[in-house]
Amino acid sequence: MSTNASQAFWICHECGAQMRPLTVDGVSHCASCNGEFIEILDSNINPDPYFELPPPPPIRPTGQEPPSQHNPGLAEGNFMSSLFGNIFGAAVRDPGGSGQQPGSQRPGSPSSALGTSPGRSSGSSGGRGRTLNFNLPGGGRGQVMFGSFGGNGIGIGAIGSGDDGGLGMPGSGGDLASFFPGFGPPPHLQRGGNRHFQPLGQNDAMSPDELIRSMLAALTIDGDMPQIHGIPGRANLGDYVLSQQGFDQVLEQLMRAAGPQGPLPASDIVINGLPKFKLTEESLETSQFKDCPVCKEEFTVGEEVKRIPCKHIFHPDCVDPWLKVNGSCPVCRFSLVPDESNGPPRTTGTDTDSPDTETRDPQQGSYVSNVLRRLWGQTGTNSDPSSPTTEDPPDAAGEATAVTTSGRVPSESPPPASAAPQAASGEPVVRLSTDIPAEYTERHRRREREARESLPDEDLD
Amino acid sequence: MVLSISSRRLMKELKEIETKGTPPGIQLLKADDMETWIFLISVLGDETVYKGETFALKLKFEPGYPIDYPQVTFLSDDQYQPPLHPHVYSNGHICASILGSEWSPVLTALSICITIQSMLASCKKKERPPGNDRYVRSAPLNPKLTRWAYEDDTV
Repeated sequence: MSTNASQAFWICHECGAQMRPLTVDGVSHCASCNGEFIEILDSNINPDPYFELPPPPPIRPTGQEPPSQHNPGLAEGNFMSSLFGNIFGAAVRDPGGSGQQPGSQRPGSPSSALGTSPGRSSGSSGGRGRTLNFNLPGGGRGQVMFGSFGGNGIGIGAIGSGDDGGLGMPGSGGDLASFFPGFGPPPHLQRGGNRHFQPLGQNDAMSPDELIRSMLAALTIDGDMPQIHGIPGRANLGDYVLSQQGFDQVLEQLMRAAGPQGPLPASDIVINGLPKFKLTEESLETSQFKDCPVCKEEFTVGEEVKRIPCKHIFHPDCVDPWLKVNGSCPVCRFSLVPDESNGPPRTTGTDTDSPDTETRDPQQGSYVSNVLRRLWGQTGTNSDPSSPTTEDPPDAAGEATAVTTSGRVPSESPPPASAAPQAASGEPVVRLSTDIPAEYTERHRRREREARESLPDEDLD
Repeated sequence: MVLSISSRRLMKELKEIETKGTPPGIQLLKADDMETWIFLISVLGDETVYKGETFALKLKFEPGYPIDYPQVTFLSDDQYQPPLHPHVYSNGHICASILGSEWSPVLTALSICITIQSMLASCKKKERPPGNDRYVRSAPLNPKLTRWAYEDDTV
């Protein structure tokens, strides 16, 4: 479609309105807010490809109150426009006329105003799209499609150069004028007119720029929108992901961060269920742990310590904050976070332990800590001799022995981590709920070995 | 006022360094406060590619220390330059798993230094990490804000 100059529209950068300007004393003013920072949207005069706008909003019916001078949503729209202007402004040249006829205003009515809302995607043909390719700073290659997916909605899709071509996001069809209220060369103020139009977006359920904003927020790595409010040239394309490839990278990062490789906190139930006991003179003397590994302070008689099933002891105040961040022993990395594949750990242990065991003497350990001991407290009886041991509180040691069948998991068995060791030792391969999952044992053992064999540099990247 | 856990722990470490000294090749250059310490690190012996070089490692402790690991970077100024190493970026940022997912509150300032020293000692080829320029261009000031991916455990 060609745009007749007489039908050209203007955009006001101050209020965001699309309008025909009023000329007062030879100076063009925004018909809506009287601002002078206006720009023509016409391919002949202003050869910016993005003058291509959806049909303008309906003329405000006579008698209706003038629109507010300042529409917050549209003010934010300037930010989007400068962003997209920066990104795409130089990359695309409009081959022909505009995709939509800017002059085709329709009579104003609420229903026709809704016609430009983002939700609308059905409609007449009009599906004329454009694709632009661009290189991302990171070396990726992106592709963005602009086009009207519906009668009035303009869609933006992003496609990466990735393997299978990726997928666009046509659902974002919306009023392009809200995305791109204006960009490109400085305004040309030589045209006049006196028609008033309603600013865009007022009737939209979700303004397109909110939509885009949330899209971008979802795509940026940390969800923060950088400070680029309407300042062209300050937007850093590296802060955004505009291709499928980039999107995949973000997803991968997120998954890696959330995946099992990252530190997982121990649950409060587990942390609170860890056995605590008071150090006696005797236990302190026989213990090989003289000081708290976290605060490095020496343990003193009468001090309360908390013990992880790997037998390492800590001040509760020292180890709790750590376990809330990373559910593993600070010393040997014994994990208090069950693998998902092992199923929910606390569904076990209901056969013999009834909840009333919680009423036992706290020194005897809570219900939860008993469960914990069954799950992980294996080192008391069948660990290899060099594994760390402490003076046990008598009850805990006894319990651990009772629930841990020694020999079930040979202490030096190399990893097959599954039920194989059990079969080898001639026991039934049935995984009882009270069994220590072999994975735990194996993992712990492996870590113990590593810890023994190497110095801190084993942790090195 | 009761000292924070982090200050108490750091004072303990400092005392330990003062009484027991530092391992060969590691020297405490500055520990004026419980916030920023600087160690000088050199790799001893003839085998190393860093023979004769000395690097300054800056440790910046936050109140969450030792639950939280410190910011650890090599100084990059007129006097000291970061080592040319496949895990050390030219802005001094270090990609080491103990300064990330493998941190443990058991580790100390000195054990960080030892780790970094042995990381340098095992280096055979002086080179910057792949993507150094790209990272350095956009890297945050605080290396802890970088999401590291630990791939190579050979060096």
